[in-house]
Amino acid sequence: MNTSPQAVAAKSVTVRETGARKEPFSIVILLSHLLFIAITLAMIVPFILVISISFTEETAIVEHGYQFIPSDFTAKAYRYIFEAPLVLFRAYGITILTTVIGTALSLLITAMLGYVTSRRDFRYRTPASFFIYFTMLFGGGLVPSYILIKQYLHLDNTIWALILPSLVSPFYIMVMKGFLSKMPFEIIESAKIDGARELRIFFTIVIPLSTPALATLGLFLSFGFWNSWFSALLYIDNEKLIPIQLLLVRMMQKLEFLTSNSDFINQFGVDTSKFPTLSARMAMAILAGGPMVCIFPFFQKYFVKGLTVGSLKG
Amino acid sequence: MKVWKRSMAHLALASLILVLMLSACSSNNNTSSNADKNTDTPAATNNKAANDKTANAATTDDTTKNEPAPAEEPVELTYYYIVYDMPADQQEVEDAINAYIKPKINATIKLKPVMEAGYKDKINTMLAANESFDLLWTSNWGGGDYDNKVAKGALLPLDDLLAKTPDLKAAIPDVAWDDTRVDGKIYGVPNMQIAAKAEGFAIQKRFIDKYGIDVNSIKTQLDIEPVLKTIHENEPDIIPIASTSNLFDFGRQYGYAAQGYKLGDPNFKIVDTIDKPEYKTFLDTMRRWYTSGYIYKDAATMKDDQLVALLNTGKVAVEWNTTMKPGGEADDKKRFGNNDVVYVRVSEPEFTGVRPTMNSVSHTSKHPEKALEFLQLTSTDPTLFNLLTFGIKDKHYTVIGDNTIKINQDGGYKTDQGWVFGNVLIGYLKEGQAPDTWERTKQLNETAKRPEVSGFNFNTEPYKTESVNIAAVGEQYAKALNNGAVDPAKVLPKYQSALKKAGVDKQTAEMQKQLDEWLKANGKK
Repeated sequence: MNTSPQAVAAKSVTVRETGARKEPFSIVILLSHLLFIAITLAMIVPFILVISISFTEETAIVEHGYQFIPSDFTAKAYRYIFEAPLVLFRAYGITILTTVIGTALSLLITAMLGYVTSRRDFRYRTPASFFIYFTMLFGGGLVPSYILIKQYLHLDNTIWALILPSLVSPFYIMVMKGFLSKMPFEIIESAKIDGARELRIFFTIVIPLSTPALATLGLFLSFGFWNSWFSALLYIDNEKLIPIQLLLVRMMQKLEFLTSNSDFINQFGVDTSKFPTLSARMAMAILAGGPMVCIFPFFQKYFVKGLTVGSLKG
Repeated sequence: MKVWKRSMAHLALASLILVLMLSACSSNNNTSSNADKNTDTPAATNNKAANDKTANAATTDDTTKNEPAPAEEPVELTYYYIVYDMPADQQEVEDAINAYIKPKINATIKLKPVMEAGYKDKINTMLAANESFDLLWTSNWGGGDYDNKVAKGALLPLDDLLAKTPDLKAAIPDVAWDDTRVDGKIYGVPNMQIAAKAEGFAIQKRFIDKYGIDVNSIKTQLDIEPVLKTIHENEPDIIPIASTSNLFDFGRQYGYAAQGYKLGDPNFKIVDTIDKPEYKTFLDTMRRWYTSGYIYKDAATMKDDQLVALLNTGKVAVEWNTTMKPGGEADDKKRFGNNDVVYVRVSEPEFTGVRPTMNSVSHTSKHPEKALEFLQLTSTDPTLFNLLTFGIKDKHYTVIGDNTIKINQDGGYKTDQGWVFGNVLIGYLKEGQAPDTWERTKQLNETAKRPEVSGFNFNTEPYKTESVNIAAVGEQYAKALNNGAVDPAKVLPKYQSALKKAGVDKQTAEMQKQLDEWLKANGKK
């Protein structure tokens, strides 16, 4: 960028001029503000609605539809869910455990692979990159991976069934590689001259320098682990290892099932009055998504940096 | 430089080894009920896998040949079925069941309840992966996926095996066995329950008493109109009639078979809904009811769960009921917010088949005979059936009368899903059901009118796309039309042209072809 003294001077002049023109209400600025306010509202309003529905009495929902201000305030839905608090907390525990272990391991492996394939002086860089890239194009599909996990690795009914299948994603390796290939090679070279070995270079120089990328990927990965339920559905029969998302999916689908098969339900005399209600659904959504909503702001600053990664610190 | 390259390779190796180590370690935490000893090393795991593979190959190469287990060695059967709630005391009930059946059939059962949400995906994946298990619940709706599984060869044909379990064959009427046949072979054991449907109205008793309604005067669907009128005029807070999509499933009330031909038509010509002149008349009536305020205003857009919530408020006077099952009033009392209901039938019961709930044997089963022996017990042995359905006496339920129980709602086994396991007609009755409910159900099943094409089932595979499109169009137009929410004069033509576009003609032609083939094969045409 051109940062000659003249340019700086010119800039300050324009700034002063605009200040002198006293135009706080530029129509363009106003419109753009309004646009962003609208967008923000479009994000926040449904969320508020979900919260209020979760606190509304069922009969009120049936009679008046969804309301922003509950006409009949109740915490029944939460009571219904916390009927079996142990189940819920255990599910939270499992989800947190898989998210923490999974994200940490996944980041380590992704960083290692990304780093190795980004090093221009690694002889097998191209075949190794291709080996990773190839899996992006051709996946094994559901049934072969099921056979592998269950019949060869015997991971069913273990916590690893929730972690290993989604541990390494080629796309994230590519992102990591792209980030690391911008790292000046001189840093690594100078470390070598000072006598550091590869592992030491990796852990003391490369990892600390790639925090923005790691934080960004970490966020994506933890969302992935937090929201995954399909592998639990396939591999977990033990009720003690059910993650929170699967509990939620079950509740949701129970209702969908009720809507699509009422003839049979009536024929069999399944007691539908015990099915989770409209407000309980919303309460479940809040309980499942809530923790992540709270965590997200802390990642925000890295997030912006990580996606527009360009410069290195010092 | 060279030195670096080599050590880079080490780093790459290190990360790969890490992945391998993880997968090896994890087999230590294996808690599955595999008979094999868990191994600590990847190599041993691989060996074991290889063994598994050969064992699998052996069983899948020739599924009909099964090695009889040595007499002193009890067999363990695995049974996957659908549930809506995970019972807390599952293990306890399973132990009680095993203690009971082991002396009888020299086998134990591993119960694997699967929540309804993932039943179809899970079971289909297991079948595709050739996983070894014995029994599974199947049906023609929801997660049961019967036709598809039969087509893929995932289920074992049972005809030869049934010869060895004569009690099972005898416990279930032939008409039910015939209904499970695909290309002449039986692939499922029907769970006997109500297999005949009638249509009619469920009316809240308090209004019948209050306004002195003569239920015997209600002979057809249209006879309900005065009742709705009375309620609408005198009870401002009460919704006269509410329903979801199809207020009256158009068909039987107007002399059409479920398959879509006019009853008594010697040619069995299938006509589509939109071409039926009666349909227009019916829509006009519904429109009149809607504009008079008899039908719930949001009926067209209401989902079933919303209907359940609405009924629960007790504000709905009348519901159109398409099952009319004996003893159903007790179940419906709960649905109507604890108000007594009275059933009024307006059509003759007709046998509708047993495909809604069956149990099948997987083609990967190592002990199909044992599996069938177990099903024989669930269909003939009340003790086992009640254990499976209601759990343990005095813990999960209390006996309150002759063969009648009260389910303990705080017990750990309140799922109450007899229809999944076997013959509900041998089980306990629940509180509120009349003592003669099962006799009436049996009688209804036996005396119900057999459709002219009993035993015929459409195979939707050839017109799958069309049927999906037609369902979508129906979602868009038919719901609103059938509830009278829109003016038929304006909307019906739109509905008709949309159906034409969706390929209704192709579907009708394909249905006709299948029906004709079946009729020829059965000498009815």
